[in-house]
Amino acid sequence: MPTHAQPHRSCRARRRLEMLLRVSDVLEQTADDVDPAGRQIDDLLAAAGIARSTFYLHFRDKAELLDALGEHVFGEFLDVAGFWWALEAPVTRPDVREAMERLCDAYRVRRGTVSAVVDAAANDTGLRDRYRRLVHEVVGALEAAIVAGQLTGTIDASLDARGTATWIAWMIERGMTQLVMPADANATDRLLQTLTDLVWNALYAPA
Amino acid sequence: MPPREPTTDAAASSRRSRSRARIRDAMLPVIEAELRRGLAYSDIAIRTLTEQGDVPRSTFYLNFADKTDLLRACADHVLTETTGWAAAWWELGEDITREALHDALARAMARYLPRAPLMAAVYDGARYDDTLRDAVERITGELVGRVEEHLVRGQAGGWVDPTLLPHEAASWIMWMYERTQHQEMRHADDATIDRLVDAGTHLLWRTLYAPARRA
Repeated sequence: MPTHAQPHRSCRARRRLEMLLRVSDVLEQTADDVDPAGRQIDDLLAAAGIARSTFYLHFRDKAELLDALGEHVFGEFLDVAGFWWALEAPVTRPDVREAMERLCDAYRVRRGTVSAVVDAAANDTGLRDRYRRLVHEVVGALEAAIVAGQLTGTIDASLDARGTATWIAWMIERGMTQLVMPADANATDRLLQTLTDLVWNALYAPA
Repeated sequence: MPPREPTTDAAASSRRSRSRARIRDAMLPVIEAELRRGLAYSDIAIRTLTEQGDVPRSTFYLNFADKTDLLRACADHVLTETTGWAAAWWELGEDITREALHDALARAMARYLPRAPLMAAVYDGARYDDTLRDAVERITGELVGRVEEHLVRGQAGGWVDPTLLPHEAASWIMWMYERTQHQEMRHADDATIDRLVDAGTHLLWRTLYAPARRA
């Protein structure tokens, strides 16, 4: 590629990311609104201070925007989960608790965005399939972490890494939005304590 | 004193319930066939349901307000079925073994999975519709309650991890099953389903029952 095209591409990518983050900010500020997912694209853009013409330079439609938002927040979740998957022996319950709290904090910061993405996926087959692929990226990363842990003896060697990662990833994905996000501080503490126990028992407890 | 005759209202309500159940049973296979074809529930035409279910359109609207009302009735019916199928797990007791757990879960899932596309539509629709949201709350409440009872009984009997908070554990597990069945297993081939059943059994064994045996 000609070198003069490269700065243009990175500038375009940066503008696209800025737009994503501004829309995400609006979704977070309005997370408690009634039916935030039903909001029209023009309302979102107006609240984010983005001109329609600028938006349509970077995104085909609202579906593509939500797709990109989903990809961005899941990238953040994968980064945060890296702390969990890098835990070294001996892994303790407090280690796992800290990992779960970091995930919870990451979800809380993006709960409005996640909710909008999940709501849209519930109503659109294409978005639903792409959302599944995002969760599958998490499954793949968790699977790799389980395999690595099995090699070092940190994680039970008898586990089917892919199958176990599938169940745990979907448990956390759904439980964070359905259970933890609506919970008060006391209920959150109990939920995270239990999630810690379940994950620790599943992966790290002696066979 | 002669037995009292049912009131007119009670008799009419009973007739309506039976009528709704008949229509629901006639249309359920049509809904499932359309969902298997890849249609979203919202895209299934009333005409398709009435023609292939052999129910006059007027009869449908005498008994159901709309398609969402029908979906809610189907969800309630599947909840009744599910609690029956999953009872094989919940009724396991102190002599529980991993093999018995696997058998119970595998049988329950084999029966549930044909219903998974319909129930996925219910859970998805609940994000947009109040009546479906109420149905999902009822369903999840019932299922969490049953799992919680099983865990409490097991903790009292010494065969479930005594340190787990039973309500919270039941909640996490219920949502794990809901999501994995509706997002993964309904799309999977038989080999993948078997693999997930095996991994799910192993997971439940390690999280719920194995810790009690180590104590």
